[in-house]
Parts: sequence; C-alpha cells; structure tokens
Amino acid sequence: MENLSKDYSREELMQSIPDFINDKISDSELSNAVGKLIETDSQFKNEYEEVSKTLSFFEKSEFPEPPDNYFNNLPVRINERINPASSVSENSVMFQNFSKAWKYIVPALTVILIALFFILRQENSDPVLTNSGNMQSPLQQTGNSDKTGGEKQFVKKENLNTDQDKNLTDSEISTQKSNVMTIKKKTNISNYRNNEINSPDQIRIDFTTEKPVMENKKVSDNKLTYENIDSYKSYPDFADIFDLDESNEIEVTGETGIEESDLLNSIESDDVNLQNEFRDLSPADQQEILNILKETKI
Amino acid sequence: MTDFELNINSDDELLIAAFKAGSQNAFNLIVRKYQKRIYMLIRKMVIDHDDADDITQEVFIKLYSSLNSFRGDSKFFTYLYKIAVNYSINHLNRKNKLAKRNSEFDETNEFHSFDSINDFSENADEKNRSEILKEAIETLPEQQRAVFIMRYYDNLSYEEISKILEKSVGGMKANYFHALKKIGTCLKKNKLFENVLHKI
Repeated sequence: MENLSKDYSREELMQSIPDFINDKISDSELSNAVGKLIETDSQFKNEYEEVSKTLSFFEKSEFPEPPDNYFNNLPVRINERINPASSVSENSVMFQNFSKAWKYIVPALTVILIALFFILRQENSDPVLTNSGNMQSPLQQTGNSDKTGGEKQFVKKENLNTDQDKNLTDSEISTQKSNVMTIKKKTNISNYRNNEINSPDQIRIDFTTEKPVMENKKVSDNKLTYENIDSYKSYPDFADIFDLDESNEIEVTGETGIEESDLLNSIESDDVNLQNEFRDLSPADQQEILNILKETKI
Repeated sequence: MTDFELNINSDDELLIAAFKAGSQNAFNLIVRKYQKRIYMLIRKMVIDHDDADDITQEVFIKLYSSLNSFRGDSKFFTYLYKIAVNYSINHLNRKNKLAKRNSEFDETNEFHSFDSINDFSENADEKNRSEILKEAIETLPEQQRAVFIMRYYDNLSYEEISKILEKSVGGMKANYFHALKKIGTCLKKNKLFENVLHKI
C-alpha cells in the first residue's frame, strides 16, 4: 500500500479528495490511495472533512431560477437581435425601407429645388430693352427674332466702327442685334449722343445729329424714305409719331425696302429736340410735313 | 433532413448541418436545446439575472455568426460552453476593474451581508443558504469560479474543462480543489454557516 501511494504525490492525492467524496475517481488505484491516506494521515483527514462540509452545503443549496416564461421568450428576443427586419410586419418593413430611402431623397430634392430657384431667378432678372423700345424679359427675347429682321434695314453700315462690321451682311447684323441682352434705355441714349458704339455686338442705331435739312429744303413731294427719314425727325410732331410702340409701326419704303421703324422710337430725348425744331418751322412747312405723313399712312 | 423532421432532440451534427444549409429553424432548435444550461452556467458565474440574460443573448448571437465556420473538431457543446465561459469571464473582469476603481477591496468585509441575516426559520434557511451560496461563489477568482461551476454543477470532466479553458488537466484539478478550500474558509468565518450546516 505504501508503495502504491508513492506513485502519487501528496498534492495530487489531496486534490483528488473532492472526487473521492463524490465517488468520481475513475482510477481505482488512486481512489484506494486517497482512502488509505485519510485513514493514516490526520492532516489529510482534516482536509477531507473540510471539503466534505463545503460540498454538503452546496448539495442542499439550490441556485435561484430565472423568472417564469423566461426561456419561452429568450429565443424570440435572440432572433430579434439577430434579424431585426424579420420580426416586423411587411408594412413596417416597407416603411423602414422607405424611411431609409427618404434620407437620401430629401437632401437630393432640396438641392434640386435650390438649383432650380437660382436658375429661374437669374433668367427672370433685369428686363431687356428691345430695339422696338419695349421692356422685355430675357425669356421673351427669343420670340422677337422676326421683328429684328425688319430692324436690320435701319442700320447704316457706314456708321459701324470696325472694318469687320462694315462687311457684315444684313442677316449678320440682325443676328448680332438679337444678341443684345441687356441694353438699357439710358445707355443707348447716351451712346447715341456721344455717337459711339459700345461693342461690335451692340449695333447702335445711329441717327444723324446734324441739323435737319428741312431748313434748307422743302419736304414736298418726297415720300418718307430711308434716306430722308432723319430729316423728319427734327419736327416736333414727328416726336409723337416716332415714339411708337410695337403696335404702331412706321412703314417706310426705300432702297432697302424698309417696312418698320421701331428703332426710331427708342430714344426719348430726341423727341424733345424734334419737337423744338418742328416748332421752329413755319406753319406752312409744318402743315406740308403733316400732309406727307398722312399720305404715307403713318 | 428537412426542417419539419428536426426537433430539439436531434443530434447536434444534424442541426448544425441544417443551419449551414440555411435553416433558421435549426438555429432556433439549438437555442431551445441549450438555452437553459448556458443561462444557468452564466448565471452562476455572474450571479445577477440581468447580467446573465444579456450575456446569454450575446453568446447565442455570437454562435449564430460563427457557427458556419465550426469545423467539428470538438464537441459542439464544448464549443458553445467555451463561448459562454469566455464571455462570462470577460464580464467579471470588467466588473472587477470597475469595482476596484470605485472602492477599495477588503477581504475582511466580504461577508458583511451575512450579519444582516437574522431570520433562522426553515424558509429563512433556504434563503440564507442561497445568499451564502452567491456570496461564496463571488469570492472566487474568475477561472476558479468557472472550473468549480463546470465541475460541480455541470459535472464536466477535467479533460473537457481543460479544452474549454485551454489549460492543463492537472491545473483544472488544482483549481477545483482550491476553489472548494477557499469557499470553505470563507464559510467558516460566519457562525450562521455552522447553524445552517448543522440543520442540513
């Protein structure tokens, strides 16, 4: 027996006491060695008794159970945490998907709306003075191309500044005139007074600033043509006639086949000069001019 | 094996194979099969029910995410136990660190709670034993606690415990013995323990 116990260390035998008490030692030799040592060794025996008491205390003590139905609900709660989407109804899934998409839709729509707002605002800003003397928004400019076709014929090529401009055809002039987006009335008037052109694009209607020839000539049989129209502008009455809006067009014939005179109406200050000069004429001359104008169906 | 042929008593290999094939029902059956044992293990480790509930859920969630990579080198229950014990030990470590930061640890004050127990009726004995039991286990370090619970309550062999904790068999045996010794030493400090013990 003592030889058998030498196969095992004292520490190993002591550590086997709990299993010996619960009869869990599978090795019979080890079990016998522990039994022997308990009988022969008092210190070993005390250890055996202490462990027995402790294990006895635990045998009679139960660990508290969880609340009722805990294990019925546990798998459900675990599944909810694993697959949150599968635990809700279809409607709420759709709602969740929609709400997720909404996070991206709202900012995108906001950006689009702001961009549209600024674009429309720019397009609706600063109205443009058309060559017919009317204030139009830039958006309406595109609808006036027909009218600019008639206006081109009033432009005297010799009044253009650059050589390039002098070689322009009537259609090119019309095109350039349609490119004028922001010609203001006063600017145009000041340009007229200063007899200058701001840019090649900006075809300025250059009316002569010379004294009307009516002082030396009679306007008798002459019809109102393109060549002599300037001379009539000095007459005060003409101011009203020239000051026409789009609805009242001056039909003028001439080499270039002029049918409209909307351009003449764009300059208000000239009206005053014309009025003054017309008043300076003799009554007979004034009446002759009026008759001519009536004949030409102005 | 189709879903409807699986049940809570099906072999672990079948349930795992079904889960890997995409069966959610197989996982539910695994949960129902082991939820009580895992919960009780964790409850004995951490004592508090709410903590045990959280950790139990986390263990099964971890199982759900890792089960596809389970190769079957060890028993499934050993694999599951390992997750539960590790999560419990981690929780205890975090709790101890927090407790040390908040207050000083004093061994002589471990059983102050026993002084408040004055009811010695039969029902009180059970209640007292339960309280003493909790207090006694709480005195153990994390690893000794795990070994004691797995050996005493779950009746696992030292070999299985060593695989779970990745320690030697001899070390597990020593842990178990020293855990019992420590619990006994703490219990002897209180006379109530003697009274309760005599009534046993």
